[in-house]
Amino acid sequence: MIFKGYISSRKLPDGTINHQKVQNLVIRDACEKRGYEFKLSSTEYGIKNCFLTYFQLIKELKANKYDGIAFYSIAQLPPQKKDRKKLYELILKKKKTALFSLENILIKHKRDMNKLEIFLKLKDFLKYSPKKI
Amino acid sequence: MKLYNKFEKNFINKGFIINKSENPKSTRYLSNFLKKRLVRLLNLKINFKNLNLNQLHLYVKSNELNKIRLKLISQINKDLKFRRNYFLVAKNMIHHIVGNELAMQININLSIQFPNDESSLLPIHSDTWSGDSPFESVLWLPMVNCYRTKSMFILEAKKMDYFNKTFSKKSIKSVDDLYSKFKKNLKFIKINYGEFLLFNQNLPHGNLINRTNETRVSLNCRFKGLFTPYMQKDLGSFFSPLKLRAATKLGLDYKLPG
Ligand SMILES: [Fe+2]
Repeated sequence: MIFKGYISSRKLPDGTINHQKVQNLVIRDACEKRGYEFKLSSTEYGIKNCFLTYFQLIKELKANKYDGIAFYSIAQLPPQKKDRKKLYELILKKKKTALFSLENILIKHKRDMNKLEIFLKLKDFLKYSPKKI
Repeated sequence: MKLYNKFEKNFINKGFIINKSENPKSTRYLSNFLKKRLVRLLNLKINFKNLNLNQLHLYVKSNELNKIRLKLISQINKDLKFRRNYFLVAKNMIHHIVGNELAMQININLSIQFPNDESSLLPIHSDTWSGDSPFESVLWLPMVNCYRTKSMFILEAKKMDYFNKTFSKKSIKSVDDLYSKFKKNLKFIKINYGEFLLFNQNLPHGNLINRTNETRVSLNCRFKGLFTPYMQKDLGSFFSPLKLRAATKLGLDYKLPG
């Protein structure tokens, strides 16, 4: 199965940023562990709230250019649910896969997406939790 | 006070400069290096001088292209003379446009684009959108004559205001959509082997599927003022110092007495 990498060039909503080289290594490693072929990553533009590359990859996935998208992290998903739904619906309809390399999460079925949505909510709410004990 | 000379004005207003190599010997070194390594990598029974890079697609299968390209990139970047000669091709112009205390990208890149190959496309982008500093300039060297889709495209500098206005309307849906919106304003660079292109990477640029019947082979590398701001591509991991002036060396070493 061929997976297209997807890396970021701006700070993720959780405030972290990693070198693109490191992001690619994490993706490559996650793909290798699952026996997927890794296709050179596309980079999301650093412009605030820009998801042009994300939508481009969805378009290419729809056109069967590859079997899945290998994200560096779930933190790269767009904040609006309707934008995430576009990916979910396509995965279900065309039997595709998305891999979130850092978290080692794979989504393929409806139940995976529900779990991911809960996880995203949890992550989002954690910003209100104390950081110091 | 005269702020900019004619080269600088040209670079600011147009976004790029094309000139003859300042050092043809250096250009020849780069070309010969590539040809020699290719002949060896591909086990060709010809003299490297007879290898026509325009016809490279006749010697390499598409699915092996990236492997060959990566091997070549690794060899290029192990050779210090390659790096030195790369700079010498446009040293004076880089001094005019970028400065004379310089940082150079650690790895020189190599692009090989076979006719009709979809695998090595670089969609419309500005390097600053993916972690490069707006203080960088790209020195792009064609190893074959490049024209139309065999070359790269760039948005004309005078169209940048229009681009920014349209972009901020947020009506663009994907990278393809971005390209279609500005297609009319993109200019394909016509440049021959033996010339160099120095361009402003803040301007949107990229390439399309090469629809000519020749292969494009080109090199690219970024230069910036050593002390200008770095973004994600920083000094050490992406750039290395190329030239420091004596006064800077003294400043760096200086300690107040006591
Ligand atoms: Fe670029």
